[in-house]
Amino acid sequence: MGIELGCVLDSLPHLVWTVATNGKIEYANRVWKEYTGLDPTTSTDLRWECLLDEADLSSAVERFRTIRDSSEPGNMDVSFRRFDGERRRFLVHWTPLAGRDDRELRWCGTATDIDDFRVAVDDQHPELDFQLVVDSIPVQVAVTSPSGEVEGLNQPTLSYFGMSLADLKQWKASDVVHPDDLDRTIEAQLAAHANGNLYNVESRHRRFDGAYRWHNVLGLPLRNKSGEIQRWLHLIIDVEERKRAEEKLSSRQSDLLNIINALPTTAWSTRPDGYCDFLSDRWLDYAGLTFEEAEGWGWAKIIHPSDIEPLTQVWSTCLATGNPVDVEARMRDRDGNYRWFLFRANPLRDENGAIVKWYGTNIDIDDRRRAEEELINREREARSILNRIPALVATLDANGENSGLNEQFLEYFGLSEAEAKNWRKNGLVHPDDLSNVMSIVEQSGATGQPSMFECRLRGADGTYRWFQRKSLPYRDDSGQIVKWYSVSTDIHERRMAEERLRESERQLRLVVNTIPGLIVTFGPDGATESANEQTLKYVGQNFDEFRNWATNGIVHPDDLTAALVCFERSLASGEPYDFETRLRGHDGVYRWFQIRGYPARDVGSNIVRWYGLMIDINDRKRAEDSLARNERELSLIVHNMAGMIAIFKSDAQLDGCNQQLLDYFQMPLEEIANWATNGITHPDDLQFCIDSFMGSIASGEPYDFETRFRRFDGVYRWFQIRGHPVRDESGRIFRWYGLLTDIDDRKHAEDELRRSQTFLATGQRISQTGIFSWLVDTDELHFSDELNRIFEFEEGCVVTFEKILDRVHQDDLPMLAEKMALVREGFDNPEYEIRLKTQDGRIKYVRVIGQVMKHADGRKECLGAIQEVTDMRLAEEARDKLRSELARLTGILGLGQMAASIAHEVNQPLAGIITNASTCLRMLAADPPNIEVALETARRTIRDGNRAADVITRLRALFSKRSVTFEAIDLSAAVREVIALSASELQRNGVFLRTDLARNLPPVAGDRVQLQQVILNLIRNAADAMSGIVITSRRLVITTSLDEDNLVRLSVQDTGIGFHPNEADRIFEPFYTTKNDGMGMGLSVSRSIIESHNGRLWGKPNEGPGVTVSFTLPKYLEEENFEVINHDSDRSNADLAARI
Amino acid sequence: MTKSHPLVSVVDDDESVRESLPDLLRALGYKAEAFTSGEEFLASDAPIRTQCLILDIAMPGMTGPELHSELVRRGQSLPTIFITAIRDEVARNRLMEKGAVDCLYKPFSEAALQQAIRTALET
Repeated sequence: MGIELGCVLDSLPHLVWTVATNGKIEYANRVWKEYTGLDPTTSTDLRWECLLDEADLSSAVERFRTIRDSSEPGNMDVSFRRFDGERRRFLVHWTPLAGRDDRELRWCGTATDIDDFRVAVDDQHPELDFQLVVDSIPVQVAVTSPSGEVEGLNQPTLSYFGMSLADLKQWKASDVVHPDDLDRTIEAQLAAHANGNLYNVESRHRRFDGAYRWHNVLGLPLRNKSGEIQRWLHLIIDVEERKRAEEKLSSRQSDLLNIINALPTTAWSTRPDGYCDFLSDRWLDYAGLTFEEAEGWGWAKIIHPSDIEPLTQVWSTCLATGNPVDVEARMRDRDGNYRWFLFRANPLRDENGAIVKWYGTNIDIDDRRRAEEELINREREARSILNRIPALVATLDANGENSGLNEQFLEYFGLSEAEAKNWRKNGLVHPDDLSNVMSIVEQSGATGQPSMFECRLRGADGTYRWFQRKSLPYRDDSGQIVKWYSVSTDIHERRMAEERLRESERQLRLVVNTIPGLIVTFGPDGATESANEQTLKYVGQNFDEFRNWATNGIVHPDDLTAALVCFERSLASGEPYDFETRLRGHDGVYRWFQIRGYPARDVGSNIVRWYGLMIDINDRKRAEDSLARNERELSLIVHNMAGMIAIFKSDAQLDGCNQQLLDYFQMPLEEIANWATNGITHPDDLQFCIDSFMGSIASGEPYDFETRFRRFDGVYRWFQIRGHPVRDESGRIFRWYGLLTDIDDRKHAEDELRRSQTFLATGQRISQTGIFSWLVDTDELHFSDELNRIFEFEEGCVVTFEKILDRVHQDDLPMLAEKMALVREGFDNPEYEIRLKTQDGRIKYVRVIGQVMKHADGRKECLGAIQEVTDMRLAEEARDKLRSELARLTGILGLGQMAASIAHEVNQPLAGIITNASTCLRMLAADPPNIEVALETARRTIRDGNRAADVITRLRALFSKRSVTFEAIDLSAAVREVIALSASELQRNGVFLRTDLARNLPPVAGDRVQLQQVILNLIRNAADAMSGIVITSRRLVITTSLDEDNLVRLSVQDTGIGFHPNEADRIFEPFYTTKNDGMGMGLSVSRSIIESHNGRLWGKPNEGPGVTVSFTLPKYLEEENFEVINHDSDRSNADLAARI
Repeated sequence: MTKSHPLVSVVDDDESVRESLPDLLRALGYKAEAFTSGEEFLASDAPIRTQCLILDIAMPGMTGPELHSELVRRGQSLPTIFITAIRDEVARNRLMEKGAVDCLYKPFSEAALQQAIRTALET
């Protein structure tokens, strides 16, 4: 809007400027700048007076000061110097511009170039000066139109009647004129109007206080150059005093003279024929004549030569007719100057009506006359101004009807004045504007307010153009509107521009309403002016509700204060605002908006409006929130992750790291940055580390290597160092993010694994166990090296089922096929034994244990271990063989418990072997294989195997295949042989041996080996029983003797742990033992042997520590000799196996 | 003590059993403890923690059946699997009647052992 105003001001044909209170020009329109050649925007010190002439300066400044002090608009008439030095006259109209706080800060000057008319005229107030003049005349003056309407009254008139101009407008003669004088007055006026002559009538007028006073009313027609009467001027002279004087004259002539002479007017009288017989002293004094010189017709010599004839003519006429004299003429004063006077004379008649005397006065009307002339000139000039200024000017009467139109007006519209008055009907005003114009005119007429409107008027060429019509009322002093002056200015171009602007604004609004943003405009003070539809739709309010956005909860309570602060700060500073806030939508949900506001300024840089744009950034905001959360989380991760993070600049300089890194080194970041020189990198890795890292920095490729870093406590740990470059939009690397993962434990684990793998291979070798993998779907097979060895395949060859089947014993092929089919069908954990046949014909026993695994990708794999158990099987076979041998023994000896005893001795290590082998297989089949335990169990297996073998060896020794032969045996000799065999063992065990062997002992019948075995058993048992006691107490006594029953006795006495007397029998039960590693069969077998020799074996506790075990055998008799047949049949074997 | 890893106690005077059996039991997913005699077992806190007892029959001192009876007497009866190197069906039946879960003849297979333990833990 400011822009438009500036355009309008620039397009005015006036100089327009504003001055601040300090007198400096603040603003000037284009016309001003063009005229003066100056520019206040560049020269800030310009004062409006600078255009004045020196001659005008003081008066103009004084005048401005007066206007300014009055605080009312005012005019002045000055010359302004043009840019080329020429001076032109201007009518300057000053108007105060109200500031914000109602103090008059500035004045606006509007200068109209009137140089062409030479006289300064404010076209709106052409009669102002006239008014001043007539107001100062000490008589009552009234001006009426030719038709008799009162147009003006001077102040004395108004004062006399005590009424305002408005009241007197409606003045009828009957209201003020004495009823007795009314007819005469009206008659005189009508006559004068009719013939255009002046009139003079005496009548009584009612004063404001009701008193009537006599007045001489003189009516003068005012004509223009062409002689037409324009107005009537009425001079109303109070003659009450004179009337009274006249009344007194008849009685008191002398008084009269005195009175007349005392009157402020010149007075005279003549005889009926006109001969002057009296002139007042004042007259004589004015004229500088003596009465004698002026008597008769002598006065005529001071009348202006130009006036003498008209005066004489009027005077003669009056003398002839008896009409009152009323004529104006100039009279020369004593100094030779002419002044205008009004000559008035009335006849004095006698009772018969005959004129007896004329009484006359001369009223100095020079000032008035001059004023009149001036007025007429002014009128004429004003008229000509109106006609010649380039504006369409109309004068309207109080009712708003055209009463005068200047020539430009009529010419432009091609109308006569009469036609112009008919504007309501003749199409002068555009039909679309007509009703509006009519209502404005009517309203303006009713209220008396100045009006300004724009309408289209039809020019002479028939086209309508836009005009701005400004009407100002002219009021008299009582405030009554006398006239309207209106100026119509062609604003078509501006209007068109405005139309276009409006159109573009409409378009803009359309755009504003359709764009998906929320737009609000605010006044300079922040008051909400408008909001687009989207805004109202979003908040679900109408505009009246919305304008209270600061209080009605649209803005989120948490954001409101900040939003208001931003907004008000911008209002104060004029800077755009930009902030984010949550706004509540119609659905009650708050969404984030970015609020931006820009001020729109006029040409004077004043902010006229704020445009606010609100952009929905809720999604962005959420994304930001989630980003911030992510960042927080990331930061948490970075600082809490079990890794160290380092950030490098593009030049490899360490730029940052997480807490873990600092904690690891326990040194400041700046020091860690010197990792290449400060020793925290392991010396052996340093060069590799630098090469790897700097190589990546140079190439931009990610790095990944392993190196050792020294921890704060001096311990080097292995790290995997991985780094990735971070690139900006242009692809330039600006950061490297490095992750340091502590792999020290993994490194050690790797070493451990390598060791484990070695162990595994060793373990497989030792335990004769191989490992295989069978991908069931594809029949891909993998054999460990040991397994290849077991199968006697070449190392590294591709194992196929064909090759395997070639090795499998043909009797076992059906079973293998069955087991494999089960695995294919999905059965788990196969476990079986098969036999292999080597190429050189040897049989190998292998035990297979497998586990079927399903991989994540659906593949099925059978993992397993195969152990060669040939040795075990052979041991078992040996055991089986032993059993059959034992069967022979039992057959011979009838020792039922022998079998159990032997079974116990053998099954014990076998249980260990099988349990250990099972564990071993499980350990090897586990993922990862548990090598250590597997190794241990394998070792135990071997040990238990050996133990079993020992048992067999001993049994073999006991029960050799040879036939048992009974013979005559010297028991003492047999004992000596046994002692000789076991002496070193006893010595080693710290056993002190004493023998008490009888000489000449009769021989006994028996098997030497068996009996010696029993003796050995007893000795060993005794030694073992003493192994737990102190070495000095280990005494063993062996005695042979012939007892009282003539039986040969052998006793073995020890000092060992002994047994309870109750246990004396139990010690001979087959698996009774007091020894941890004992066979538990020694005494039992021994008793069996002795009993098979018809002897007896028993034990009893000693008086002191220990036990004495003894047996007795009968003496050898020649005829008792016999041989035991060796039973060697499968049946007896099977029987034995079933019993064990 | 946990359900997933029940404690199986082994009482046997034979060292090779004490060495090998606990390892296998652990490989099968159990916890295992070994004792050289019934006296040692009773002297420990194992009777309270044990879910399954593997008990050798013939031992010097207290025999397996004696330990079993003693536990019953104390009210600390445990699911018991007897093991023995002597195949004696009469003795076996007697033990089964007395409430033994099973009686395995040495050497026994891993499968038989697993089956017996499963049965023991189910009771």
